[in-house]
Amino acid sequence: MPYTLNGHPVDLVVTLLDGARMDPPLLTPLEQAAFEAADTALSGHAEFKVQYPGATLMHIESNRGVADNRHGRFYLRYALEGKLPLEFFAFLAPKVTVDLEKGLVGVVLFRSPVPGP
Amino acid sequence: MKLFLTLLLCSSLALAAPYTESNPPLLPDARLTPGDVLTTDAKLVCVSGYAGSKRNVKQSLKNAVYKAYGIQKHQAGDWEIDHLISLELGGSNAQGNLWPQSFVTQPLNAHVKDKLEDALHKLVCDGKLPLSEAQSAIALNWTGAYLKYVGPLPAGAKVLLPGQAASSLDAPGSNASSTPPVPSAPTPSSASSSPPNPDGSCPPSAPVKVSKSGIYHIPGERDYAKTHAQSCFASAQDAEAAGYRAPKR
Repeated sequence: MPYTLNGHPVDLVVTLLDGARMDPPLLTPLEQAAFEAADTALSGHAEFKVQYPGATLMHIESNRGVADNRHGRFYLRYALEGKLPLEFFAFLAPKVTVDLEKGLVGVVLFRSPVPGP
Repeated sequence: MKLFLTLLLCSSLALAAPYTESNPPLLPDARLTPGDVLTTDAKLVCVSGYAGSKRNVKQSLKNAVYKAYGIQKHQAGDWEIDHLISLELGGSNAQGNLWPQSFVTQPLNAHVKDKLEDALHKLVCDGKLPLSEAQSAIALNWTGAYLKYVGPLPAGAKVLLPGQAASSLDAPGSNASSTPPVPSAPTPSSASSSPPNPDGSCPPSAPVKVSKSGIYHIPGERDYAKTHAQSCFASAQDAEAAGYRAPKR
């Protein structure tokens, strides 16, 4: 199903708790935000840009059978010209982390309210 | 009408095999594990150390796959989360390409499928089999692919039917065992297409897109997302049987 994330047309798959695929797939606001944050974290990562110039997000999967803070929760695939696509797994984390070697991206969606002055 | 609904419910329940540690799936459930690839370009997978360079499936995702198959507990070392389309054949780490397979069922188990994967990889990299065909064959029915590309299954085992679990196997040589038909390349008449969705996507039951130019694209391919499907097929084999071709790389 064509879907647009951060301006990129991507294939979207949503896998439900029982392992079946949602048809048609539809992201929750949290999932949408998590994918956007993961793509933003990767796209802005200096080493990612150097190692994978021109990498373009092409496919995302939301694995609802995996807890939000576990490594396998969100799946992202990037196309690389003339090379094998790259796979990354994203998850909700206390701080933003990018591990290119392991293919992991931790994203922060919720922050405790900062007390005012 | 009530009878029809009852029969429908019963048949649906019958299809949902109650897999357990003692009754493992021998073929993946196509609804849960249709297969998924990163590429159909043989040049990209036929490089030394390719599969070893791939990342691991995260444990939390493995657990989700076991759960989806209804397997609540399993003996460590007796199982693996298998890539239906193996990494060496361009398979991905996405959930739709994963299923729990036992090492200990006899005579069909993960070791037997590994042998098929190695054989298909060699055929592909020797230029004797298109990668997309190898991917379709192993995703459609790995036991049928084994018979076709490796030889007879071990210990006289028969090609399995979808939904068969270990408990449904008869002892080798038993007369009670019927021989399911060996999957073969579909003929044009059997390779029926499905209509695309209004937005140009294809339904999950027939995910292979055929473009206006008569080229088919399978999920995971680079051009898949931007292809506006004119028709949809369940597999690359079906699309080829209907006269369409894979993209040239």
